[in-house]
Amino acid sequence: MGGLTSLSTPIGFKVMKQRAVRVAVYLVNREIPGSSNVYEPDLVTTAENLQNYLNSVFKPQINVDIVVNPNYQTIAAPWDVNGNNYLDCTGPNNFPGPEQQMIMDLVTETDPAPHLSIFLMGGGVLVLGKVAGYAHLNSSTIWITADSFRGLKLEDQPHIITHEIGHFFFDEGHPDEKGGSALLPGTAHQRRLMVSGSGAGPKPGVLIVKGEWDKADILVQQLIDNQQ
Amino acid sequence: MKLLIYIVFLAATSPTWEYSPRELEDKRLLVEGWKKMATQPLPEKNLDEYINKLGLAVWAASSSKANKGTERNEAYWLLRERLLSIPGHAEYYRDRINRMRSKVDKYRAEHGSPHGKYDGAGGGLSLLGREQRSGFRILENLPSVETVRVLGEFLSDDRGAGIPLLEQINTGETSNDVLAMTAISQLGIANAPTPAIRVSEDMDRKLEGWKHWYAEVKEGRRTFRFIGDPVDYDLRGPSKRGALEPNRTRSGKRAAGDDGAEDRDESAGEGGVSPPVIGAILAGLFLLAAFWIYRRKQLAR
Repeated sequence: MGGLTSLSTPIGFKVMKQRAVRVAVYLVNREIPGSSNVYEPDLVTTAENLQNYLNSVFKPQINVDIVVNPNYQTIAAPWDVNGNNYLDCTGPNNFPGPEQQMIMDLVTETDPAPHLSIFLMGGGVLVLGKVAGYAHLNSSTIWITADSFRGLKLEDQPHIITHEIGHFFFDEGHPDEKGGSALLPGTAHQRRLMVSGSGAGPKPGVLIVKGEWDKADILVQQLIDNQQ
Repeated sequence: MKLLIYIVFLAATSPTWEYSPRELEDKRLLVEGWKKMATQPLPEKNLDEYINKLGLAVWAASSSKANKGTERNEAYWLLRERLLSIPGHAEYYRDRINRMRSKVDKYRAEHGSPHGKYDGAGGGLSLLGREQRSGFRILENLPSVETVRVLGEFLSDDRGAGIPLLEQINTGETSNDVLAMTAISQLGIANAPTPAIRVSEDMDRKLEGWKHWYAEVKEGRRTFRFIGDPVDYDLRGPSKRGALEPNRTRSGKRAAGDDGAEDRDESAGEGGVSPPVIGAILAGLFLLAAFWIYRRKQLAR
């Protein structure tokens, strides 16, 4: 082509196995010792909305069907053990902290058990005091701030949950913070599902890239195999 | 009409909350594969690869550890026994974790950043986090002298400690000491400093207890046993000197069936005496004192 050398690269195909991942949602009411008030999460997306959104992102890109249990369980607990007004979580590799464990202990088991459990936290708290969502890999749980007065919106919730589920499929970290399975420096990170909250663009990114497909092939299977 | 057929097809293939026949079949094949893996002849080449596969299977099957009588549980014990029978089963994971840790440390030293992110191939410190997560979760299923030695040494490895939680979330990094402690506490060691840890609470105190315990084992002042196994071990294997325990007389003096952690009242908290027991002792002492005063008054008359 003109004076330029032509370039040819092979096109690769990757066929992803069809897999199903089950997700259960729990509404966590906050009880405050000495008070009769119970604080419920006021941002609660429906199971149908959530499932549709999750499948619009994961199904076409990595062939994973997400099944959301239509019956949300409600849990009430005075979980703010140290009274610091937010949910304390441990690092992703560690066993859960006492506040997480108190809530997890109140879950009624289902058959089949979910692969992932999502807790929508009420009570005017931000998870960890800072974040909209947190994936705790060790316990296969996701903790979501579910209060409108924190500036969050109901329509954002399915995307936040999708991003957190992404951490189970593609690992910790965000590409714009030099973390995650595929850094791809110099590319448009804001288009990616795994971009961090601070690196996100005005439109939620949903793109899952090749490095993440490969990771998902291992980690989604591991998530399924590790379930009883 | 085509649309209707498509919708019917989608409805028939989309999974529901119940297991589909395909998923059940996948589960059956998985367990069957595990059993084959555990009973195949030991490979002469690529033993590391075999250990890696066995370990991942042990970790996955461990979710059925308590469900006796199931095929999955049966596979778990077969896999575990096979992995335990291979010398180097714990050192394999130690080396993997240490190799990745060295890469991270080297990167940080070169970049003069104590908490800098390692962006090696594959991206991010999560590579270390991944090695730690699978390595320690596998090791907690392998009660052997070798595992105690590996985990015991990791108890003093605090590289990476003190990284802020939000940083850990991006990297998955945790120091080895705490992870080793949670793993060693699951091994089923009799008379352990803590019961099996399931909640990250009061971890510094627990870690000190385990480090102290391991130091005594390493110095040859203490032996250990696994629950259900009557053999006393030191770090070389079965103890030639019988059971040893600091502040306690030699072996044989311990009451039969003293399996420590198994019998421990978890409400007592680790390494302590439970409040009801203290209360009972104090009440007894009070009654004794009252009786003594009463008797003295009686005699004085």
